[in-house]
Amino acid sequence: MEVDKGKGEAEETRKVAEADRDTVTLKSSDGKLFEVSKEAAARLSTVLAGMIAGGSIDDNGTDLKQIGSEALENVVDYCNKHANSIPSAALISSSISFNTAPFKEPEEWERKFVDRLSHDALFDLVEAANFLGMERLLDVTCHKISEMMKGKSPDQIREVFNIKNDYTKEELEEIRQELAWAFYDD
Amino acid sequence: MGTINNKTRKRKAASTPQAPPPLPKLPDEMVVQEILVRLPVKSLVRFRSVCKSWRAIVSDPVFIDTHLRSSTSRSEQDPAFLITPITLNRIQPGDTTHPPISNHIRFYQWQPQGGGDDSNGGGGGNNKNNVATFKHAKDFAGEFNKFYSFSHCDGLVLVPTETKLYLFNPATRDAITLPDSELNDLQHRSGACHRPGEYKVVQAFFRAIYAGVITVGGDGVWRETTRPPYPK
Repeated sequence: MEVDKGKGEAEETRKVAEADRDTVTLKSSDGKLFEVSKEAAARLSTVLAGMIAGGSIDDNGTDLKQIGSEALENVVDYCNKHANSIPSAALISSSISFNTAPFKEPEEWERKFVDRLSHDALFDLVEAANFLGMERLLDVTCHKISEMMKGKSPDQIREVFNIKNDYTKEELEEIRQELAWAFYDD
Repeated sequence: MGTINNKTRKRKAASTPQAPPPLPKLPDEMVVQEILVRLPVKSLVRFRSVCKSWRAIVSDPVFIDTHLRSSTSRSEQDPAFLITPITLNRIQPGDTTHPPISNHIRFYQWQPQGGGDDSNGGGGGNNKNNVATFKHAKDFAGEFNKFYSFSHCDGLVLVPTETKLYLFNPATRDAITLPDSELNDLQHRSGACHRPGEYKVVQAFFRAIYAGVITVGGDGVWRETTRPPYPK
């Protein structure tokens, strides 16, 4: 892997020992352990790649305190599925940052992967993907959520996102009149 | 509003101390941006009314620029045309109150390939190949008698007439009338150019070697470009 290159000689011995394992163990906020392909984790998550390269992976379970077990299970599931699917050129080129990337359409299996998730699971997964720097998974989950949002009213959106309406009645009425055309179907 | 008045809005926001309140629970603002940037313009316009922080996100020049570039890269695969019909008024002989050209400027979007649910051009999700969807219209009731060639940039359309210059953003249904130019001898060969979040309109003048430039949403003043050295 790219991430292992360019490191000092001193680290090399420890690296070799670690490299013997081709999985890493991750620990969720509620203490559950998950095994994930090291290659896929490093390829799909900039944060995990950094941890693997920096040697801060714990064989007894690397603590990911911000991620609950359900979300972590989905992350691991995604990584392992990804490890088994041949990465296409489109996938590799899509892992660029928010500001420069044109979005690539999710592949069929990725679509199915997020389609089966409950609402809460999807939102937890998007947060986990963001936290772990998983551009591709973020792409896929955000795409799914944006699909769900199309055609919804502001009221429905507030409900889904658990957002408090901080406009006054008057302000809201003003916006509504001004933008009445946008309140019809997409 | 939207792209056109971005600049003023930004300035106003900076001068008031209170920042938009944070989202109550999740999701994180970065994630919200990632989601919103994938939505068509029409949805974004509607979701301004969700809460103040969403309105702030959607009005941010960096967000607008990112949204523009992502929808542009998509529309390269599935291009759409913006159509503006020019119509003549039906005038009775002797009628001098109506201009011969209709002052009702209209924009339609036509997507030859049909455009699926992902249509980013502003919500025309059900486009059939043979149907153009209405985007925007404004009636300037008698303000002008003729117009010159339209120019466009990033979805903004500049409509020069013999009396006024109008700037449209058909996707957000915004339209502004640019301030009158005090520079004389208008030749109206105008264009819009851009650097992220900022748009300028340039006018060339008849027999002049300088141009007039105005920044959209700026201080509303036309400036002359520096005159190049002129051979004596």
